[in-house]
Amino acid sequence: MSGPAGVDGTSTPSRGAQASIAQASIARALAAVQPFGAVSCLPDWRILDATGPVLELLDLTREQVIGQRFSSLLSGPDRIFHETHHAPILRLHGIAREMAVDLRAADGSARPVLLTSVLLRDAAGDEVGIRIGVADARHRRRYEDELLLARRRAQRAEAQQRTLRELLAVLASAASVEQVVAVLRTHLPAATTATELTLWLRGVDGRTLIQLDDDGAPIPGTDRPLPTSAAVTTDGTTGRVRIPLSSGARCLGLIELALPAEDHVDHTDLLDSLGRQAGQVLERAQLHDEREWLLHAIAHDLRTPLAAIGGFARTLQAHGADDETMQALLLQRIVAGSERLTRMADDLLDTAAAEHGALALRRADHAIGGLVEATVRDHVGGARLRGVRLEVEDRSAGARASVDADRLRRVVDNLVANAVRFSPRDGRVRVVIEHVDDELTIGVHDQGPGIAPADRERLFEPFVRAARPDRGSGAGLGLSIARQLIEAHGGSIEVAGEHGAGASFVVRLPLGTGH
Amino acid sequence: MDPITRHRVQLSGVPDGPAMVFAHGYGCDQHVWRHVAPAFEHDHLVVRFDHAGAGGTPADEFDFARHETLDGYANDVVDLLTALDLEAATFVGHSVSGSIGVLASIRAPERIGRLVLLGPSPRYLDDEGYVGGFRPADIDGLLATIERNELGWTSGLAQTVAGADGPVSEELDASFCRTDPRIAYHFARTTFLADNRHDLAQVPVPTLVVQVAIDAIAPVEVGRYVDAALPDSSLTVLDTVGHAPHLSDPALTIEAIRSWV
Repeated sequence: MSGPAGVDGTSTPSRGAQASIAQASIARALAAVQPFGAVSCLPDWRILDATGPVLELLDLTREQVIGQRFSSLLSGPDRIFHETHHAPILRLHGIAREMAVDLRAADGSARPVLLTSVLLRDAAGDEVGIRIGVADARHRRRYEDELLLARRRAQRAEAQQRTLRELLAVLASAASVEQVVAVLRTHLPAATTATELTLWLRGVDGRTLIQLDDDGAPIPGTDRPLPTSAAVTTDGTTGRVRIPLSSGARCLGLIELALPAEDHVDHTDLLDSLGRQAGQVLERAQLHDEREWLLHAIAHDLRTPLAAIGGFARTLQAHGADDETMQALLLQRIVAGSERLTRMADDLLDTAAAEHGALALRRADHAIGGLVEATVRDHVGGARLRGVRLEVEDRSAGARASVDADRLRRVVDNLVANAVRFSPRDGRVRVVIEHVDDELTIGVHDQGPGIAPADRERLFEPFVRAARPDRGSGAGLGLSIARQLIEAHGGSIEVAGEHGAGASFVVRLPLGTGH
Repeated sequence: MDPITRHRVQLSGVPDGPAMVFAHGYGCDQHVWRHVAPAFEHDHLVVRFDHAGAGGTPADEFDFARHETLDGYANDVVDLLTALDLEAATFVGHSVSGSIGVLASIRAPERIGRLVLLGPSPRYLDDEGYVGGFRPADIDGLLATIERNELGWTSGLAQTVAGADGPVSEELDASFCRTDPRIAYHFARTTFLADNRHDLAQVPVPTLVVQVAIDAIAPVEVGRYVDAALPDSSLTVLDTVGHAPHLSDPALTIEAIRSWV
């Protein structure tokens, strides 16, 4: 085997320079890997000699290795590595440092070593041999393997993080609750290597979560409390990741993932933001759904009295002139209908004003007992038609307060009308006005089905479908605006009573405020 | 990114001379032609480049799907020759780049006028009635070796663990032969699992097969197989050892190519 000196004029100087660099590096390079032995080869890798420790390591005799190719000491994969990396690097640089490979011992077992090879040249730059420093790498290998494992984990985590980010982008374009659910179901398991995904959405009570089946329908009896933040738990074989879907302080749902413990996800922050983003999209989608429904409800509410007024007016047009009683009756109906429409418009305006914090009260000093009694009296006739007895008990001893009389009347109207509507035939509705300390209370008690504790708060939320299925299709502004109006007075309104044994609405008005 | 930039193309020699394109094999990059390519600069336009994922090419632009098979690399070569507007070029491919050149010549015979296959192997794995030299397990184990070595190279871990003041790398080997281990392994799999034996008969151009007498990666039987399967082929066996004669025996390699060209 001859060197290229003199054949190729352009390569000779660089080879000479390499040779000197290589010579200068030999001592340091070999010291760095603390070789405990060495193998000497001809430039074609035929083994000339091997030192005792290398032979001991491989359990081979000197006679067994001399004349063999160096690659015959290597395992299959390392032979490839030797030919494609180790040898080319040595030829190009004159030195190949710290090649981590396995040498094969006599019994075929692997001996992890580090090789630092130097291409030896004579004064003319011609290759004369290869000296391979061999260092035992057993201890280092263990450490390395752990490092490699850690790096693979980190790479997997990084890949997961990337897919989660992509998922966030997809999620941002979801417009409906169904789409959010579909995106999460389709992409999240792949993004997290989850084997199981459970989805929960907030129930109508606003306090619990209800699990959804694969079609997105709630599974009854799966209620559980709302979570607060993402959590990761593991039992050794299965990791569980819990991601709340939240918007601000509101939790709208929960995703639970089960994944193999070795794929343990540790992106709690990222999962939290995924949950927040999904929550916000969910909320937006829910609001969108609610608005749609609200517009429907308002249109429906307006249509009923409008249709009635139209009907009465046409009847009047056709027959009214002939019959005075008929005429009076129809006119009365038309006026009642228009008043109902006005009240609805007032409710809507007040709700809008309250939402913007711009509800302006027109207060004046009133004896509350008298005001309430007069309002209730308007419902007596209607209640009687439904077979409901309406009673007022005024124990306020003429107590007075500064209130917006029209608005307070609307609140009482609303509470009494509801109480009558939900009362059974032959039932009784009691309205009690009391003066206790600095407070005036107006209690409206009925004997209807009552309201489940879980539904009580939600009753007062604006623009939400009430949990009472028999409440009809109205926009349900009544109780919400009642609460807004009472709170504008500095008071409160709440509902009590045993479920199944009637409902009690109690309005509390402070006597001292507002003056 | 255009192919010329992406593949770190280096041009040298005679600008309007016949083109000679040097393609490196698995493991390293275009630097392996350091001793051979200059010998053709006085009468050729010499083109050197890095395959996708190798040498100085950007690792984050490596397309794993495109390079799942050697066709992806062959398409890269055709794209590159098209971008350089080369016709009837002599394509010198080492090892797996022999197969890449075979595929590229079938795809774009107007671009490639001649093939020089240096230590080619159309299939590295043994098969019934065919000795490739390797078993699938050898390929699987290669990943660990690649990763382990990349780890030591890039992190300085070797010195740290050895507990000694290591040599400071004053040479230019900072990037040489050091590919992202995932790409290196991907290329290794693509290379060593490829089977291009049936493509050889389709080669439309004259071909020189340069075979080393003792080559652990591409045994001499493989060189003879390739020579027999090609429609228009000459075989030159170099009386030497090793898989990279362009590095270990540049003079012999230059002589073999020059006498055929």
